[in-house]
Amino acid sequence: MPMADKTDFQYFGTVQIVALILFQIAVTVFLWRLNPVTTNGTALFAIFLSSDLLAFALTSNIYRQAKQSAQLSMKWPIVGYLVLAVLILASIFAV
Amino acid sequence: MTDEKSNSGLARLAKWFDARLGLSYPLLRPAPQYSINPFYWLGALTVVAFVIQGVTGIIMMLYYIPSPTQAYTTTQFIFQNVPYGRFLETIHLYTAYAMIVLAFMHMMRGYFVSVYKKPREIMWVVGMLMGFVTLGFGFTGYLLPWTVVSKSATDVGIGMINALPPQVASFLTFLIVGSGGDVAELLRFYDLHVVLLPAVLLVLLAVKMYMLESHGISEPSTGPETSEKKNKLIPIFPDVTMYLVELAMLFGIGMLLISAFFPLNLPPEYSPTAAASFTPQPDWYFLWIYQVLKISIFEGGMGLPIALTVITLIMVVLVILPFLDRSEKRRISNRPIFVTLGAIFVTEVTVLAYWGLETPGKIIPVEQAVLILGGTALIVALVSAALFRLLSRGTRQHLPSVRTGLQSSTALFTGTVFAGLVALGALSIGSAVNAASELVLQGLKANLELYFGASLLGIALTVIATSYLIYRLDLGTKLTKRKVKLFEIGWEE
Repeated sequence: MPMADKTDFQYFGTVQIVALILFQIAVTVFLWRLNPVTTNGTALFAIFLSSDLLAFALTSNIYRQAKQSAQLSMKWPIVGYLVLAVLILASIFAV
Repeated sequence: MTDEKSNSGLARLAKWFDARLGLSYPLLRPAPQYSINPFYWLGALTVVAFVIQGVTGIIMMLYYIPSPTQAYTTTQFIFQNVPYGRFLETIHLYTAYAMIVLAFMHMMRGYFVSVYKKPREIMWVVGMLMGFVTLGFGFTGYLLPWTVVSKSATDVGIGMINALPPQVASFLTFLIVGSGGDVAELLRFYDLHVVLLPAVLLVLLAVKMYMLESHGISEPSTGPETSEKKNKLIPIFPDVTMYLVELAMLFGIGMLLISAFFPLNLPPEYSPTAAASFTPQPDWYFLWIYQVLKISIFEGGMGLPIALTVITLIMVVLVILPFLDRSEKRRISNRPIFVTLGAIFVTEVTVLAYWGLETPGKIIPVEQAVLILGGTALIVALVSAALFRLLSRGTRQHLPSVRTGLQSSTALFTGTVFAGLVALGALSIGSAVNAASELVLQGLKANLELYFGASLLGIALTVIATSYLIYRLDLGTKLTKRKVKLFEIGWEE
């Protein structure tokens, strides 16, 4: 697994956390704009709310790792980003 | 320099909140690092499910009216007219199911790793009571949509109360049915579901959390953790809290996606006419009890009270388990009897539930029940015994320090044969259940009899082969000779 020392991680982790928070804000705005009545609306709502929760979980994971350990394991963040990509791709088919 | 600035900015923000909210004040006992594992937090996830239930339930309460004439209409209104209403109902139901599954997993994990031992006996009892309250949520909530499915099944459940001792029956009838009419029944169920049971659960949760804080998180079942890194204590906030947030988010994602892609369909409204043409069946978490009650020996006369007594005894044994198992052994490998009994319990409950799902309303001949339940117990016991032998320290002590290629391949072969036997046993039991239910449905037919016979033969072969294999492996007796190359495990005499 890719590892980085704490100095690198502090920068890398902060960048990721900020990007994830921006992503969560964008998704939340999008969720408010969805039409809740249609079936597709429900599927899209579930997919984007899931991606929002996943981004929050990733933020938490990266923050926790930064606090707990001197080295960063990117195993779970990479899995999380892949799932996030799958969810966003799935939203294309749910429209 | 830029990095330091951004980090100090975040740190300053965290400190600002901390100074005002007192988040880092060590209010709660820190947790050991080894508890950063999902299996230690199944109970916490059950609470997360309860919170989701609360939130979705409160939204539905805004629209739902608990009266027999309006319950179905208002539920239908939520489905059709409320934004995300169907989604909300589906999440509420699926999270309820998840709550029951998580509570059961939490209980069985506690059983297998013996967390109920001194000084956590009362914690176990309180946890079991919480489990019963969770089932109570399921029972009371099931009636509320007033569909033909839910009302018919609930009526069967209420009918069983009459088989209890008169004093208990009259108290329970008063508690959950009131005057006996539909209006009182639905209102009682609603009150229990949204007021009494949540209040009881919260009180029990507070008691359990207090005891958790007193006793701390239990040691791993493999014995005291020796690794200094894993024993390191970490604060509840933010470390453990952040970890729980991650687990809760993943759980929420699962619930959201399942609810969106497998939405609930509302069954028809209850009416006596509709109910007459419908075979009542409880929801899946009560199916195992339902299936026990359908065994022919428990039909009529004293059968029902006896069956209910047996089921109650199982529950009582589970509640008072810490006072029955007084041994101080905690390692799974040192508790073969309790672990095997637990495995049999889980398997029997699963088999009974599946069997109940496949045979709604059908009376089960007692011979068939003995065969299937007895066969399941026997196979699980044999497989458990074999696994204990293979995995136990005693077995490993017999192993030569360096294995030859031949020995490794024979050990692998033996393991594969065990796995094959487990698969054959499961397949045979499933086929026997299927064939038996087809025979009951269609009557005696040559091909069905052949199918049933072949399934029984499969069960018999599994039992014989497993017994023989265990005999050859000389499970603890040290009396037999290992002569058959086929099942040679690979260690020297």
